[in-house]
Amino acid sequence: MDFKENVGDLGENMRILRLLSDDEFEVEGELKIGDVIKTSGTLAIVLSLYHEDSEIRKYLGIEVGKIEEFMPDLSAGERIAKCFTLYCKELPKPGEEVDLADERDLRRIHLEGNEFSIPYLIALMKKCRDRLWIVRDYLDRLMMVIPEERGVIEIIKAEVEYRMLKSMEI
Amino acid sequence: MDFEDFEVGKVMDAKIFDSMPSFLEFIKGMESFEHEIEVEKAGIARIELKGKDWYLNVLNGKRVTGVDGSQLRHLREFGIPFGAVQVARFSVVHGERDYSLEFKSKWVGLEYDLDFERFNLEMDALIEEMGKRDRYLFYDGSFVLSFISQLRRDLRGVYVDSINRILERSEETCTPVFGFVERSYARDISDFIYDALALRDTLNLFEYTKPLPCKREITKEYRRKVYFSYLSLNKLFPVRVEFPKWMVDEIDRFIELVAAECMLGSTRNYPYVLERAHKYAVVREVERETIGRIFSKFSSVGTSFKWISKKM
Repeated sequence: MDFKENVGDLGENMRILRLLSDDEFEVEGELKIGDVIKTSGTLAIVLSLYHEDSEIRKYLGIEVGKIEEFMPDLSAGERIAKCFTLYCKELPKPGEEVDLADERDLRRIHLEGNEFSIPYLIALMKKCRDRLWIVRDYLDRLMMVIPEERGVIEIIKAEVEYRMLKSMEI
Repeated sequence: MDFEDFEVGKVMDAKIFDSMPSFLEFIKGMESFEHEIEVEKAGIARIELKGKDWYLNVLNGKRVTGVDGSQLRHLREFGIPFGAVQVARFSVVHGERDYSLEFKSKWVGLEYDLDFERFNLEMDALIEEMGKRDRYLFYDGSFVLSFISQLRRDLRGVYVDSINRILERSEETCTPVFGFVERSYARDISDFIYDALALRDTLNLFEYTKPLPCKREITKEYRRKVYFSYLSLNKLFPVRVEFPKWMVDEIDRFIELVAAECMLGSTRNYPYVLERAHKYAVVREVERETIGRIFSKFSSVGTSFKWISKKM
């Protein structure tokens, strides 16, 4: 029996921290923007990151500039990822374990009923209005995972890139 | 039940909660007890506070290390006769944005004493840092191990060996090491009540008692003497700082560093490096259960039915 395959890497345990709304939640763990994660009933994409500052708050007797110099581990903090739901069968629960989604997961949610669809696309683009590059990079990944739908995804990607340029008023 | 004859150590035919009023009276009585302390013999000194950021100036450029450990109780209920100990060694070079965090851990069979294994690993983690330049080491606890006098002979021997190793190595390498006891219930200088309680009206903020040697029975088995000072960082309870004899000559400088490290802590009463080491070292109960469940998955012995019934 392979240990890692069965229980994952214990050192990298990621957990749901809190729900922000019906389609957004926060995860505690070392994630990066654009990562797609899964819980027992949800697939979601990481849209932003920040450091939990509750620990720093405990040390406010000292001015913030000095905290980095004298207590450098505090500024490393806990990394929190804000995630946007792409697919939801059941809302995640705080404390629930989180894993990185793999290619099979992505194929499964986009090819339900043997028909390709991206039902969350409009909502995702609205969410990423100022950072459409997240959507563009995500579409690149989708093209690799679902190569048979590459043509359709490329058209969507072109539209996203057009909006990116438009927003910059070039 | 009548609690008029309340006495600590006496068996009562009642629930603990019912005896609380009598117990509180007993504690109040203890606090107002007339006592004598030997502190006059040693004298009291005061840390000179130079400006609002005095503690940052003291710590600037100093490499300070805190070591703390935790343990994973034997996982009997999961069919695994092993436990584990884990130690975090957290070092920071204050003022230079530099820090390191290292771990040591060990699986321990039922036949071994988890408390000792943890203590020994903590001592190893501290000793490893000795001999390197400009280190100040903090241990969360006392070097005066009175509790081991009740242990079996072989276990007592290994505890004493560990203490001897750290005291000797500290002296050989001139590496300062502090045993920090935030709530000390030692009675080395007071006759009937705890030293810290006796001293709380004697010591003003940032005052400390000059070093005194610990003369408790167990220290006769040590090859080096342990000294101690009490330092007042709040109005309620002075902290106790223990150190090897060789540090006595420079104790003013060392105590100033201890106070400065405490000022950096979130409560301003406990060294920052120990606060962080503790945070990193701790094995939470939920982690213990997770580890147990993983083992159950791999082990053919299986989880205890008693444990399952408690969880249901």
